[in-house]
Amino acid sequence: MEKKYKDIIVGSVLAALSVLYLLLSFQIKLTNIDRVVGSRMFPQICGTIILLLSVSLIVGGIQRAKKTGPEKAGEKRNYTRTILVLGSYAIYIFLMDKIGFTISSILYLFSQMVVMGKWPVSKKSMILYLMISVAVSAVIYVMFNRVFMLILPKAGWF
Amino acid sequence: MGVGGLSMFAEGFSQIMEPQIMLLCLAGVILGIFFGASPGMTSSMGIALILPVTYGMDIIHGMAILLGIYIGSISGGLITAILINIPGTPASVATTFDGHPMAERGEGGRAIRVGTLYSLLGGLFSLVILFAISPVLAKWALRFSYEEYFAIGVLSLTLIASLSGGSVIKGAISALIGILFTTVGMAPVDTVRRFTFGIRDLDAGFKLLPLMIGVYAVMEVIKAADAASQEKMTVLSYKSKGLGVSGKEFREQFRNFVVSAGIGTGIGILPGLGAAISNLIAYSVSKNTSKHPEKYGTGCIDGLIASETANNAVSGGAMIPLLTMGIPGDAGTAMLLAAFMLHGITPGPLLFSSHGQVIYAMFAILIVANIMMFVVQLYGLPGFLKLLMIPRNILLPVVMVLASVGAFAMNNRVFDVWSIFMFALVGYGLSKFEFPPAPVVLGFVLGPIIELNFRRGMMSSYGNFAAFFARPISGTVLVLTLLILAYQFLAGFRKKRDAKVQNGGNDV
Repeated sequence: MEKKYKDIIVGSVLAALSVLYLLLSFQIKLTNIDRVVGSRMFPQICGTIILLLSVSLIVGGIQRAKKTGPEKAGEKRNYTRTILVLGSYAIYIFLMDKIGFTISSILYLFSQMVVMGKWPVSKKSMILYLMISVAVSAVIYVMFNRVFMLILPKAGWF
Repeated sequence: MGVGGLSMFAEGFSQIMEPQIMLLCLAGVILGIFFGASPGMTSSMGIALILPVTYGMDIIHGMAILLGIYIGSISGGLITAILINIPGTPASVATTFDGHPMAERGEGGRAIRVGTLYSLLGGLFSLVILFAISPVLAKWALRFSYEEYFAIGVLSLTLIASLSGGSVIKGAISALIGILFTTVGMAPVDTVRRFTFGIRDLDAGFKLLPLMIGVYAVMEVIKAADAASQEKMTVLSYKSKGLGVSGKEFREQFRNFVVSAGIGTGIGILPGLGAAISNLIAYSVSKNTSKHPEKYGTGCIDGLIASETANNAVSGGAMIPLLTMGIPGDAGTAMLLAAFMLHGITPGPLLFSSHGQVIYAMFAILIVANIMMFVVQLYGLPGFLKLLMIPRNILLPVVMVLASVGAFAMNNRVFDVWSIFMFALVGYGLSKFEFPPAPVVLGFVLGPIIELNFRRGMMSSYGNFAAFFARPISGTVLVLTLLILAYQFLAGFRKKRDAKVQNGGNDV
């Protein structure tokens, strides 16, 4: 993505989303409790302001893009780790619901330490990561379940 | 403060003189200093992570640990700022200017001592202001009605959006995105469902904790993962004793201290600014009014004192609007507001009459936390430096697990953990396009305040918006807001024109 088009792109996305938001806001029911303002007005005011601001972002972006000449292509960034970080978090939440907190946390902690660490990972740090993952999950489980008396996600069979 | 003031403190201290409360406060201070010193972790994240632990406690026990974190984290940033030249939090950016050169000269220990001492003094200065002003302001705010709360909410949001750094338009969009998230779920006043799409979990709306964790914590994890090939941090030596300043230096620095503490407290009171800006402003004021500005940046204690006094002085100042009006000034106090609500207490002028004992206990905790911060930071320094060496690829995943547990335990639903994920995507997208994250959080907190009071005000004036301008306080605040907006607009316009002129000049 060329840098100079950034504002135009994000402005357009936001403008589209705010139009969608405004359209959806007309589905909000109006009641007799509050006939003066109703539950639609505030979202509609905010949605309209975002729409206007997005448009001004686009206009400003176009003006700037016209002024600046073609840019050199920026350095390519590697998104592998970012995707792995977000992906493993999503899997963690999914598993938490299915197999319970403790096991899913061990898996998540371990995979995340590997993802965020230096690649390639040595055998020694693998063992260290695994030990820490198990220990941390166990400590959190005991602390929250026994000391703070909070309920953690639990699978039926665990 | 007369007899009433004294009995206020007697009552406050008598409530917290319990070993358990003291230990919680100490734990909070230690955690806070650690969060503050760890680059990428801030006070608001620390409070968000520890908040779940307090679900089962009563408000005073919970506040002991949360306020401990709040106080500890603002000062903790100086450790990394001085010894490693990385500000632990944005609040200690200016501390690196003179603190690190001192450490390079071999005066790291002295810099830490001076910084910690003035953190304490700055914190205590702002507490004195807090104790003096807040009861008076609370009494005054009792007369506030919907119109005033609406006006103050709008002013706060305007300040936050325009001062968050970078583009004002982007700051404003960030704040409005925060507000849009609050319109999901039951509406105030008539409890109509909005934007729930028939999903039952959405009826209760989104919660601040997942938003906070998603926007801030997950972002840090992504950033750290990107920079996986971390260079080793080198810690400079820090051996020293005493307080770091002689009596003569203390007298010489007194004016600098008072000015910086005043700036910090004042910035704390204003919504939207916070510690991240206070240290830079105090530093530049101190430099510009100094007799020897050329020494700044080479490791003179004046700059260090200005920065560390001002950022800690924010803590007491920021508590003033929070306690008297329920309006948080920055992300950290927004988290404290969430903590109050979880414990069934709504900050505002009524708090002083209905829960006076809680307020006095909090005042006492703030004093104790500041003193503990001073002692712990000076004597626990080697320990903190060891903790800082924990690799980030081990620390941050643990933070994520704790955050997820906390979000889940709030209402026992996995939905809240999923919303962390959703907010993380939003936060990541916004940061890619250079939108500041702080206004999202404050928009999320202030949105309901603004909407509720807007609707109530409109109902009581039968739909006449002019009524908001008819009351003296709300009218003044709203006009001030309009002036700020007009100024921002003109400034943007002028900048554009200047840029055009300059471009034209270049073409010729």
